[in-house]
Amino acid sequence: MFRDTTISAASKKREFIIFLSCFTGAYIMNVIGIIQHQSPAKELFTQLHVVLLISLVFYGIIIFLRILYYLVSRLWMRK
Amino acid sequence: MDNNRREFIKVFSTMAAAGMFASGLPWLKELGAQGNLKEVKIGVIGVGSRGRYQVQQILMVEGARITCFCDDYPPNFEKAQEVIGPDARGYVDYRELLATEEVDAIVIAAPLHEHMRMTVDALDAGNHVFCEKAMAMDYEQCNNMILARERNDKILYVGHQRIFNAKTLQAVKEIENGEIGAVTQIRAFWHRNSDWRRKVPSPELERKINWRLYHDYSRGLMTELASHHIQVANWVLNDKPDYAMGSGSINYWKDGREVYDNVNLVYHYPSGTHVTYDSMTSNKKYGMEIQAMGPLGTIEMETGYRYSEQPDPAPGIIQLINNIEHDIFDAIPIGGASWVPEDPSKDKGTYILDRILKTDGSDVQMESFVSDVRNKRIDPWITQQGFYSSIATLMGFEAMMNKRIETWPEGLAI
Repeated sequence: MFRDTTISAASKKREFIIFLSCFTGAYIMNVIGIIQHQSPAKELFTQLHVVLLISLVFYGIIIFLRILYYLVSRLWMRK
Repeated sequence: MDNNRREFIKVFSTMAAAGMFASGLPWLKELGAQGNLKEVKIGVIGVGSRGRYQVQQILMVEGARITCFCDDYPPNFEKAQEVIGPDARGYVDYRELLATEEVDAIVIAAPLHEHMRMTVDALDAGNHVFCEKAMAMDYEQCNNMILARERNDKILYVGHQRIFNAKTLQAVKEIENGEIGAVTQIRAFWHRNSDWRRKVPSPELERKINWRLYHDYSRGLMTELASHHIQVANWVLNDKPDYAMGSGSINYWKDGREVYDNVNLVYHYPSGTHVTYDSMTSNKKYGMEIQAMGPLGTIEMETGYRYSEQPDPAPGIIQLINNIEHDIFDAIPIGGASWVPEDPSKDKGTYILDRILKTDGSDVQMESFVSDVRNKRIDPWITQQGFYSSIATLMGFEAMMNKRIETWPEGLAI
């Protein structure tokens, strides 16, 4: 349980890209929100904390789905 | 001077510099001043809990000295002697104090039924007077106090500390500046959950100690609590009510008291604006508040918050998320909605001062009184506020007791 582990550069890169995609998605939501509700343009910057929070939620959902996929595929392999 | 007091003076100075006070607050320049001030000798009549509170305020004022006091209830007398110090001479009969002592001013914090004769006697004896609110038991007594003030050309303060409370002052300023538009309604309330009783060491002292509960000594919730909010309402509307209606009852504390334990009133002002007031003693969820409402917003003067009728909308991204959430989770209406619930605004409001102040204005009020006495400065507006508030308060009382619409008593004006 307390073994040393190594995270490969490829894994890091993959996770970074996934999170960046989440952030981009959340930021696009911010832009859509501003346009739809005619909010001030400064919200592109002032709402970054909300964007970051939404990014984390998205990233969490993706992690959940990946774990689910991993568990289902393991079960499938056993059969 | 404690920090809170310094803070308050700063706030007042800023407000005065901004020119928000018509009177220019002549006493402001003396606030917090030390040394070289002519001593003002004060006698205090009535040193129960409120009287001793006023004693504390006087002791904080530079240049003010309590030289004598009076109370006919021994426990109060002894406590006061302890607080004021051994140099102050104590009396049991206020008339003896007035006849013997040479003071500049008298502070009266006796039960309501004593206010008139004590105030008139003190003014006739050549003293300036600070009398706790409300002024007196009926219209005639209030008017007698005003006549005595005019006859002797002396200062008469009625203890309405909200006049000196920075929050109330700022609120009045914002209302005058049109921040909430024309004031179309004022809603005031004062709720407690207690029997309003004090412990009585022996039964024959019941009426002496719990005087607030009996009609021979008090007008109950009206004179003891409502008078403060009615004063603020008069101030905000810059007028006095032309008629009042109301109803009260004893619906919970059926313990032998005579005054109502809940009161509900509507005051009408010549502009058409109404002030609603209610007070109860069996629930304190809503506490106390005075809410001035207009088409552009609301100001809650006790807590010091302003609420806009059209608060700034939430950021676009939050609105977008809310919409998505509604689309997913809200029930699908079968027909079009014929009525949408008018839920209270969720606007959290804006605090109207730039700092939190603990003082309710009582300290500054006493500072102002001492300063006016020292400089023999008579401000009729201060007296008028107390007079009009007391008359309006008594109108409410009469309306409830007689179950009729009570109009402003003819000829009572300053």
